[in-house]
Amino acid sequence: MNRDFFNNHANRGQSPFCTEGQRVLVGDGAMGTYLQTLGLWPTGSCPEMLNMTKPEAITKIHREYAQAGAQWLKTNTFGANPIKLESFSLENKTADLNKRGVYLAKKASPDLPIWGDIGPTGKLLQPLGEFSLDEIISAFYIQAKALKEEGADGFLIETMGDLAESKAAVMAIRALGSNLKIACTLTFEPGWRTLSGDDAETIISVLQALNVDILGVNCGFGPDEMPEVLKQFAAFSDKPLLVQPNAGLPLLKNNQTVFPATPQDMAQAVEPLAKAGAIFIGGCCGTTPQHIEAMVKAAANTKAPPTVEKDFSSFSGFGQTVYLGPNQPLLLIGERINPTARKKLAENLRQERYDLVAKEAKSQIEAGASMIDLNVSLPVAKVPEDQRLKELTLAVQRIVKHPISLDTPHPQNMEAALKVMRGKPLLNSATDDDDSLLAISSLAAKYGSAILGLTLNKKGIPNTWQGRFAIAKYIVETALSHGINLKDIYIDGLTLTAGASQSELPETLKLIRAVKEDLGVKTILGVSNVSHGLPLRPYLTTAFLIMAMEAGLDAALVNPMQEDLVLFTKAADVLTGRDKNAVKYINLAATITPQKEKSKTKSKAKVIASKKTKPKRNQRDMLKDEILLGNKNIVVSTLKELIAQGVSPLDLVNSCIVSALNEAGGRYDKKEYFLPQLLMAAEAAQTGLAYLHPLLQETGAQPQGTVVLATVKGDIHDIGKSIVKLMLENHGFSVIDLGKDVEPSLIVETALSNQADIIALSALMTTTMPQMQVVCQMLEEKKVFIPVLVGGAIVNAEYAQEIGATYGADATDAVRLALKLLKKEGGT
Amino acid sequence: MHYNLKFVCIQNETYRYLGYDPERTQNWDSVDLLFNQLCQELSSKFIPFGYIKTYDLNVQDQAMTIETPMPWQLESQDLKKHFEDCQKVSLIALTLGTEFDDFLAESLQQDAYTKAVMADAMGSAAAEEAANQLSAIVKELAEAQGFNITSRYSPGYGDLPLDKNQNILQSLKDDEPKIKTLESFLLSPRKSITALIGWHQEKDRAWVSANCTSNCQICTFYNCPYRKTKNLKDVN
Repeated sequence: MNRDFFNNHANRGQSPFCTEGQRVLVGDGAMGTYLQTLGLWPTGSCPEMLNMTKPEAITKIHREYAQAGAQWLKTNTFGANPIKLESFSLENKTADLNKRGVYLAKKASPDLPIWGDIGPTGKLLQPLGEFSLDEIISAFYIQAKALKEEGADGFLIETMGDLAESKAAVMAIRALGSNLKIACTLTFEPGWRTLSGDDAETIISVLQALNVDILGVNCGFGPDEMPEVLKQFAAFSDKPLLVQPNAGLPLLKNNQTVFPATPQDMAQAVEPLAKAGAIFIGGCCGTTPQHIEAMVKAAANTKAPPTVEKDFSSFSGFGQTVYLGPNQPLLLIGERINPTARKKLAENLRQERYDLVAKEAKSQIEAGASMIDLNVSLPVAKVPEDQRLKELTLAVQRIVKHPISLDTPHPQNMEAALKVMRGKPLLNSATDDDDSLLAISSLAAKYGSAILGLTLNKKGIPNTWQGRFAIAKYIVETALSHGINLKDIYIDGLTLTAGASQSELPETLKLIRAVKEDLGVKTILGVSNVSHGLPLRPYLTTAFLIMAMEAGLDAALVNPMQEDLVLFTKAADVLTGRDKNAVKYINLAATITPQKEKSKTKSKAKVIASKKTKPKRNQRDMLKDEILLGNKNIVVSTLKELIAQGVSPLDLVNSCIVSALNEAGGRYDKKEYFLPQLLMAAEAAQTGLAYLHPLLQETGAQPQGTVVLATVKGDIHDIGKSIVKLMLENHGFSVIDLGKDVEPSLIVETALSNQADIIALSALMTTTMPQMQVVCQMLEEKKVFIPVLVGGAIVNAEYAQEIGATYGADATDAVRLALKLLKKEGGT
Repeated sequence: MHYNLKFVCIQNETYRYLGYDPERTQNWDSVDLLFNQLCQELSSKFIPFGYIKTYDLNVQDQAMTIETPMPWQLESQDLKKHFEDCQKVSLIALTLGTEFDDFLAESLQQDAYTKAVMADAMGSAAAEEAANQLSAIVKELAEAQGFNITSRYSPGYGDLPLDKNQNILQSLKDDEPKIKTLESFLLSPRKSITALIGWHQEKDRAWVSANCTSNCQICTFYNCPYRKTKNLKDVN
């Protein structure tokens, strides 16, 4: 065994040492928990410091693993990054501790390959935490540099709970050299997502683009649970897989964490792990040299299935990965976020109303796009383009999980967005101009992105497909030389207008075929240009798109809102064999309601006619939709516009806000919405009402009525009560919220002194429910009649009746009843 | 004995608490994103804190006595069935801490209702999960002494009154108790759980699994909105 292991093994999923093909290799086991078991790591101390204080103990552990038959060793440097070391005031020792870690492992075994071990910093990245991507990269860079200088053969980034932090660690190592070998494994939670919500598909998409050599999973689970997630990895990964399970799920025994799996248990797990796709198997928490020895023996005749390079490539966003390839549907990239010829969008961008612009991303996804193109070019603007792209990226990723395409010819303006981007985006685009091509290739390699090359040069677009092919070839070669995967390079053959360049349209289609066949890259095309200057544009656009699909086009920039375009591409997916057995098409049909389907099959003539007379979409309806979808950041700007047009604030409350809330309540009752959706809508309404409130006061509008609201004495549950408050206020009630655990006398006094119309009480437990009756009795004694509305998990209609109150099942019911009670009171 | 447990985010359970209906609800990405962001925030901020103490259990015809230094009795027919054949009982308690209540209160103060409600449901699910973690520890302790354990039983289940919360907490004795009872016998902080787990040596009890988290099967509150199995409301 020698250190070429990484070169040979990691690169090809094959190793000269695996003479029998895919023979499983077993590495060493735990360091931290083993140190604990041996009593060498007192709680609260820095385990890496042992590299200095007890070097012989560390060497002994490495040696024990080597003697157990481990085929690689990990250094004792898991937490030796400066951010984590700072908690022991050891940050200045970062380099020393890491170098010493490598030295001790090598000393224990001069022959085995050594993985420089890198664990998480324990800190969150912005926007959730205080650290920026650059700060985390700098910390890992210091650690990785020391590991490299002392001669680590590769790097193992492990136990990561956040894909963004894993990415930072990989980027730090890549900054030291593009040929360094990296394995990266994440830790999953129940439900097979990491702590930050990353799923296996997104992890693979992002880490493969960064050329990580080995991918996988460690910690969190024992060997019995791991095959499930490994199978997901095997289904999407092009890279060999590493798994390091714990010795079973940890248990606390006499206040000590205990890992229950025996060496035999772990040995028995080797075959299922290998079958699930792991060719490298090691041990995480709780494993010892005995476990590894048993696993090595079990692996002697075990083979893993070959690592297969998949025929698809991918983009990913914040939790959604999309695929392109021969058996994948055409990927639709929504092109509508582009201020060219869109005055309002340009205005919103200029005024930095990014949430409003981001909304356009969401509506395109809903219309059928799977990826969003962001083009923020403005001729004159206060905020520079790079900041606009960054802010818009953040705004879009707040509401959309899908991947993003950063659309600017200026690579220098992409980096700020890339620093905050989740997932793997497309950099759109480069030409054969060296300055831009080199800059964009470096960015793509550094941040793990895909690039789109346009087949034009300084002279313009070559007339023939051969001319464009030469440019494509140059772009592909340059990108490859920067270490970008072939899979992550896309070519745009460019669409000319049918009006001016009819004879050149076939050249674009020929180019699609040629680059796919001869260069092995995938293709993307912006198709809308084809119809420029001609009437009935949608038909030309769709027809050309389908011709390009027939030529093998993988993705298209389109306007997904264009009538029927999405449906036509879905149909063409069937006809071009991308949608096997028309499964997706049939499923899609099931989601289209008969009425919609009918309208989709209207004769084309009618569609055109109705389009001409179709009035512009009512802005009030749009406001209502914003509230219904919980887009609270957009509500105020829409209200401002409507008021500027002369609509009265009171009218807006009644015709838009209250009607949207009623609709949301109806959807909640039908369970089409669950509570978070109802509340997002209510929050959006509240934002609007808060804006309208002073305007309403000017007009002298009166509140619906006054409600005194409280959670009863002895009860501390106030979430439900707060929801009732929000909903009542949204419907125009003035609410006096007395909070939780409130004395009955205070409730009654407040109601009397404020001439309240209704008292609303919440209780969650049988023990506190009788307090509702106390309030009712007090009112009776004082001979005042104020209706009492009661609710809460345990309360029911019978009880309410018994104490002389009215029962509301939930917040929307409470609003209905409050309105009803008021009406009744008004009549008597 | 004290234990630091893990705050685990459980999406399906959280959504179920919030009224998600897999057949009818059309969820939004923005809701999932909020869940993921909160998951990262909550699981890095909060460490559920648990207690376990085990005592002899004396089951007589009329009552069951927990043999603490100041013995107390369980007057519950339902629990008597549950603890039949048990010789010992583990008292367990756990809490997400007052800080979790503060987090919810702050969110509400900032009018972040959706965030508060989501965090509240995530906290409920996490507390249940932490109780499972504690039960697993009890199982280990029991098995080491040759016992099996019953499922968890909390005050408020069946006819076991809530005032037993106080007895359990007193028996767990802590110099600086992290959990207390209010006059109404509710627990404070809000996301806290107490429970009893019986130890027995019977091998063939059908419903004794400590891993059984679905107590709906044995619960008599048929109209509970959180009932997992089909409830009477649906049948009627």
